[in-house]
Amino acid sequence: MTLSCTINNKAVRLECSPGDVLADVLRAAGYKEVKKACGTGNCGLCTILMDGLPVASCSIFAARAQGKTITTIQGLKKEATELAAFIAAEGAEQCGYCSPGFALMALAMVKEFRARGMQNFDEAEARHYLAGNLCRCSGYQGQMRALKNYWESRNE
Amino acid sequence: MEISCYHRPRSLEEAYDLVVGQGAYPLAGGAWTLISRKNLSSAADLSDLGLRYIKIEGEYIALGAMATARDLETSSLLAEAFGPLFSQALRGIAGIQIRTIVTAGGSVAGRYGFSELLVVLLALDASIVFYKDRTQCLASYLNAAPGAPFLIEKIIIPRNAKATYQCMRQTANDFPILSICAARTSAGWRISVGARPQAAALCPQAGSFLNSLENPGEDGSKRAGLIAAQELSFGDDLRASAEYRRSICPVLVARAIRELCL
Amino acid sequence: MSKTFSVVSHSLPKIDALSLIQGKPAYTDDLAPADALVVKLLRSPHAFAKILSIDKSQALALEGVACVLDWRDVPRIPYTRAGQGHPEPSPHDRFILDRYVRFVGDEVAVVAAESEAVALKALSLIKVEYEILEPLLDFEAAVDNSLVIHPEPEIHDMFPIGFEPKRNIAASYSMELGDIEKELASSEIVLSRSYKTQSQAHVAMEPHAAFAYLDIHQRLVIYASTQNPFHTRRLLGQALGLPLSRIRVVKPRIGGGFGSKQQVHVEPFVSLVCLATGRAARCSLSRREVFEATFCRHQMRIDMRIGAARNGKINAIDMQVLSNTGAYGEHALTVFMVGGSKTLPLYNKVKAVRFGGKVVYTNTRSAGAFRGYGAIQGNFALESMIDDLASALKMDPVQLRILNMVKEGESSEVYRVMGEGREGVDMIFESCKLDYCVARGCELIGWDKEPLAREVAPGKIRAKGMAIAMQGSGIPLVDMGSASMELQDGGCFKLRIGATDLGTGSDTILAQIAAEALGVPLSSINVYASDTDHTPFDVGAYASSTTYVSGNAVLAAAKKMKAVLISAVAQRHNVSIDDVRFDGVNFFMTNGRFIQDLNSLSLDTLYHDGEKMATLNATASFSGQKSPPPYVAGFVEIELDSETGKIDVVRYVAVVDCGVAINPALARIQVEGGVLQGIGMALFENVKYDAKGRLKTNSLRSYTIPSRKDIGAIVVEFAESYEPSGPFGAKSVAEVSIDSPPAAIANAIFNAAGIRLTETPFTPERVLKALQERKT
Repeated sequence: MTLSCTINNKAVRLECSPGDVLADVLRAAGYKEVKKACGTGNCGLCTILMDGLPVASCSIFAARAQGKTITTIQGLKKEATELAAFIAAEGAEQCGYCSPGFALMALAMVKEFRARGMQNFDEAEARHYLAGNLCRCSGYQGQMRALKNYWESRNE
Repeated sequence: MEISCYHRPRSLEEAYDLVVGQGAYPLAGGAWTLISRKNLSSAADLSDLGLRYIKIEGEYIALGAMATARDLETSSLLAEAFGPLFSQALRGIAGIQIRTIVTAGGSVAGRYGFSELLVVLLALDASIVFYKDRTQCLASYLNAAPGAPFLIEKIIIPRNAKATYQCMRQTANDFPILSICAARTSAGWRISVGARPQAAALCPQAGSFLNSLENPGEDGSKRAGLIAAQELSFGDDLRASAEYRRSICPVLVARAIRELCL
Repeated sequence: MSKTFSVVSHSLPKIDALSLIQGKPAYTDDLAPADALVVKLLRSPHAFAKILSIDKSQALALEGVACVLDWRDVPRIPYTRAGQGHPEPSPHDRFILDRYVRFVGDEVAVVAAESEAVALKALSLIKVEYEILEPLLDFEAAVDNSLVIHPEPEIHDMFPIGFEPKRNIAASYSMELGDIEKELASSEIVLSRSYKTQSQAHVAMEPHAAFAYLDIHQRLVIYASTQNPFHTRRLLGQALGLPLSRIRVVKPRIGGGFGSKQQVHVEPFVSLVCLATGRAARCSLSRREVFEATFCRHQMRIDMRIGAARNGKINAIDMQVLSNTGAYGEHALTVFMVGGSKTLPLYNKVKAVRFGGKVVYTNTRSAGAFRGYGAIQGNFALESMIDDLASALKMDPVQLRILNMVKEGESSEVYRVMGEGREGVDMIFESCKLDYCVARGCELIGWDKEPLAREVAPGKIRAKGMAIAMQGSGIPLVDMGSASMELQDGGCFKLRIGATDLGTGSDTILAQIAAEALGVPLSSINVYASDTDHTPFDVGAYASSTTYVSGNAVLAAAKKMKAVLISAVAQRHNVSIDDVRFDGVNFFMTNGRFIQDLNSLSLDTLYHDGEKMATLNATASFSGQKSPPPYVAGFVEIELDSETGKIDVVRYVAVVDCGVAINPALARIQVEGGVLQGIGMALFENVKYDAKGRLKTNSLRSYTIPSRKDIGAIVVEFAESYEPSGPFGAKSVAEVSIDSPPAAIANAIFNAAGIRLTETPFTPERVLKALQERKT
């Protein structure tokens, strides 16, 4: 089957079979920033935004992307570059393999927190929001420091 | 996985015909199906049926079958009716990126032992509305053996209950080792226990005992917990033994009751 | 010390950080050629079986299948998958494919097809007839069992390691310093206890991946997620019977290693397919395959005895280990020996110390290298025992340690006797700030401020515990690293290193070392690493070696490079080299007169100097004479729910002596990550097999690593320390960080409730059981 959808602001057509997993179809189409690490929806590395909502692309049928707007970290160039500098300042990316999914999720979180009117960075809430993004290198602490610094830089 | 014949029905009628009439496999969220099934000869994707909603219907709140766990977790309607109950119970399901996929209807249809949602819905005395025109209370649905194919349209929850949720997990977003919901409904106390590891079950004796008390208090809560642990069966799985589950059941039940009486 | 540095000891971002965070294709699977054949492996469903027949005809008949290979199609050369020095201390006890399968997940056949879907379909069409053999699953019953896992005659060790396959023993060792029985007998207090640790999984986020192709010269080129490209090349040459000159191995970015990629798991198979078909071939394991069929931490039982005087002076320590290597013996001897050699020197003043034991085969997945490498297992047993002793002596556990632990300027007999699979080296611990680490840790956790345990709510007990730990910095006289530098036009430098950045940031810190030594900014150093054709030799990233071993090689190369620059300038201007100074940009005479700048020198030597034109370069190698240990004092505050047995880590404090941290931010992240991985082993990461030897915890759904909700604060500080033999004073930091949590948490649980947990992980169920047993 052929899917029509918008990926990173570009209309695209993707060939797939109905049983295909979205993450595989995206990677095959060259979206290598979508990493795959668990295949069971537990690690968050394959996170994409579908119509603005974070979705584990390893746990959803590709067919569900029909007509949807999909965003990967590459589609958020400006925000991603800004956030990346804060992550890098802490060295919190370490191996970097979980970073694209984490950064995308973090940007979705910041947007949602702002929409809720959050003023001060609520680390406990952030831990809840990002709990589905596993990292085996960093112990998470550096990621949280980076996010706090990023948040505060945007308050200034 | 392989799906030989993929359908995307546009109406409940069409979906009903595919699923109930022709035996197509209904795809709700699909997350569990993706990792647990290899092949489906025919599948009906329920995305386009307009079933993703949470709304008030008279004395009930109706959860469309395709409302996601994330929808329920963040729903202001549910928060108004039940406080932080849904948010607390559902935010333990993996990550948000999975909760935006899994659905209320899928959780109910799958009768998953680990399901947090089933525990809560059972305590709240929810009913399932099957298309077309058949309603069954969740308790009797869970007690009955899986039968002929069906299509869930929505789940309805009486609005007049208060409930609290407790669970034990290995890690914060793992499946629960045990999950508990204690509810006070118009018909009295309802205690449900899930992840035993079998699907959620009610504890009628604990409920009756609580109904006999003016106010459970510390002792009543503990006693109710012990009764609940006695009237239920528990099993072993990867996460814990039956023995452990039986040991902590009274503790969690008592905590849920105490929290509700605060 | 650090104030004098301008690049080193600065927290500079990793040079590849921004690209990686934004998802630029950089990892093996991202880079595989689009037209490469997809390789899939048929794996054994049985824990132990003989393959009676394999019918490949239906699979081969499927359109799009390029080849199906089984044991009949591969050379029968025994080899080891362990990426270690040569000769390998691991037995050569496996073949690329064999007629016997020895654990659930062992490879049976290799399929290559035009697409993943076809490859998977082909797998399902291969018909294998097995003679199912009774598996040996219990490692405590392995020695001299009637079931023998490795009866095949060709397998062998490379030098004596106590290899006795007929007895299911992959390796054994023992040593005794002083008279252990005499010292125990004469001790006023003698304690003994047995400890067990589980076969933790690494869970590097990137699954193992490799692709191979034949280059224009028909040489085999392999891109692999490996921690040791040079060893990989050597192992592949061995296993495939290919001359090494025909093989090139390249390591792109790696998504985490932790020891999991210190062995070849997919490289032999993509190579086989590539050689058989002439086509490019790719393979990326599924998470399930990573769990079931790559390596894990060695499961161990450690029997401890300790004897001490009433005044707290420890007289004797006896550590006897039984280690489970699973189906094959990779890292069997060395991991087990590190269990003693990187723990026992912590208490270097004992009158007698004994260490020994066996590493046994079972029909479970193989164990291999894993951060901590035996030391975390040994540390759990030893440091639990020390707290037991403190309790028996009614002494503060910290005071007991201060009385007995290793101090700067001392040495350890154990270090001299025990190396990794061989004798150790005699060395003085020139940098050891363990006393500071312990004192500072006490301050940070508030050790003396309040009781070690207090009830904060009904049934909720907050308690503290601690442990100290050490590791090494590379393997002395075995590990070797090299670096080569070259001045390029534009006044920048090529830095080519064989070292392997597995996500830790070693490319960055090695460039920092080069920049510091040359006095140039980090941006003037262009790093190219981990390519057996284009970078000089390096053993790879393991044994906490990169900063110390490869770092020293880079330092030496950079110093040489600077001398070469000065010599070139002196020659061009007919002045003495003693009179030339370089400030990183310009060359001056000692009297301050400007000579020329670096950029003009680079252009002159490459374009302007006629018959004298030459590249300016320098190469250096380093192999350690010693392995200076880094140290950590780990302190934890837990909250115990005494009604459910659930343990929450409220705070973990790690004070670390890693010498000078070349990049403090990256060192800190290493420690934070190591601590959490250690906490994972201590609390969450349960391993379960079924009765037939099938791993049940084979996904991230069933094997639960800690999420960010499972940890409170991790507080990391570094001791001011300077290792004279290290590059700019550095030692290692990668492994030592993981070692302390199991014992520290066990000790905190003891302080909370008087129960001694002797088996990791401390699941709520185990804790509650111990609490219930204490009551009765």
